[in-house]
Amino acid sequence: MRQLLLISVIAFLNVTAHSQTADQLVEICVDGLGDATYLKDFQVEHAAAVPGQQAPVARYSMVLNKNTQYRLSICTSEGASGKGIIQLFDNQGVVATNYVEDSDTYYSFFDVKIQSTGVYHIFISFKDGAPGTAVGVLSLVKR
Amino acid sequence: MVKIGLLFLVVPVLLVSCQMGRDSGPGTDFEIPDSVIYAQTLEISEEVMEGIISNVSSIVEISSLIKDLDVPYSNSYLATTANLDNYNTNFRRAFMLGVYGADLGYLNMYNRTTAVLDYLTSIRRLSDGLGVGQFFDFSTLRRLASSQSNLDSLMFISVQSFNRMDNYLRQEQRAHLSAAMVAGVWIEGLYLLTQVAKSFPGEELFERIGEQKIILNDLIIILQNYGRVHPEFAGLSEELDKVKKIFDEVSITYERGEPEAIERDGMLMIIQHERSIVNITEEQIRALTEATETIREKLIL
Repeated sequence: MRQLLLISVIAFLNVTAHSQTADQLVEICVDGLGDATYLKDFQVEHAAAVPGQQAPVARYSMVLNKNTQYRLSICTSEGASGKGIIQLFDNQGVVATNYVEDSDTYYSFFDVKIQSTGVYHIFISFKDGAPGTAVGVLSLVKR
Repeated sequence: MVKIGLLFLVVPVLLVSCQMGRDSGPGTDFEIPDSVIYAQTLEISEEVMEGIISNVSSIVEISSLIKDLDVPYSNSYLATTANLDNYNTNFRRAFMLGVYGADLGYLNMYNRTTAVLDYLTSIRRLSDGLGVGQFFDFSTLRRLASSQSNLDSLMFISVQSFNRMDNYLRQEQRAHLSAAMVAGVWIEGLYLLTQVAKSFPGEELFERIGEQKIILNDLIIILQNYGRVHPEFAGLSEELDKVKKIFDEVSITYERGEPEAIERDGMLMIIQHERSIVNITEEQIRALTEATETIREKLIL
């Protein structure tokens, strides 16, 4: 009985250590903003992609302003098997992404200097449709 | 079937209550939840509304721009908190929550922590009146404002509290209150920009004022939609329509260009080469300033 209790406690601690809540992820992401001011967060929880179908993608729209430098950060839950990808689109296509496919490089954030005010779209997904929780944070970089 | 039955029960009551112009705020003996009133009558889906509402510019960005232009702080730009008792409908509470939220962003940007406490008190009363006070951690906000120790945290918690409240309202099918709040933020933001431009005219401010055209069209669509079931929304959309007529003469053109990625010290930076150009005259700025003053005066009394 005591052994069972011990196993349960260890299992619980293991789960809490490896699966932060979305709110905790927001705080982690905001702590790492540096010289940027928080504007908005996007909390995403994706199930694994169904084989043969497209990976789940969360989409958000925002107005971004000219002459402004924004930072888009992504924090992925430790329990997630994949890495989070955050992309910025305008109506013509991709403007920026934290994942460079050619070199298979991930960045935890990128800065984008906007020169054209308008509606932009933020997409958050996991590479290869892996399941997991991620948080994207949009922030304003001080001039 | 039960839901349909309930709908038949609710709609006649709703019609009577609308005709009588009753306040939908707390204190009435029998209330139909806002979610029931609005969810059954609108043609634009909540999903579409959500997308439109999210597009409103952040007051943090407007305040940051003003501060970066070395414009000194002035409390004359802010809405008074003396008329709080007049905001006795949910529409007015939500609208003023937006206005005060915008002012709070401005105050935070200028580190005016004493005034922040006053606005926090007003925000607390309005948000409690709407049943969303739980999203503001007032004790932490007060502590941060009083100690002046961590202004970044004060800004973060303030903005995050508004974002959470906004999300909650939309999830609970009270997106109309979110729309009223967003309208408050937008009008106060435009008021701030135009008032500052009056004393400190400059191209960057003019351009930011002109860019508000992008948001206004969507905002009016939302307000008109809710205006079909609530006269306060219809009244506001009519007022904003006057502003829209001025913005209709403002043009925004675009020069196309491909974004460029630069990696420096392990950091990724993207520079956009597409440019937007706002064509706005000083006469149009003057007209927008006057129109915004008129609307705001009517709404914050």
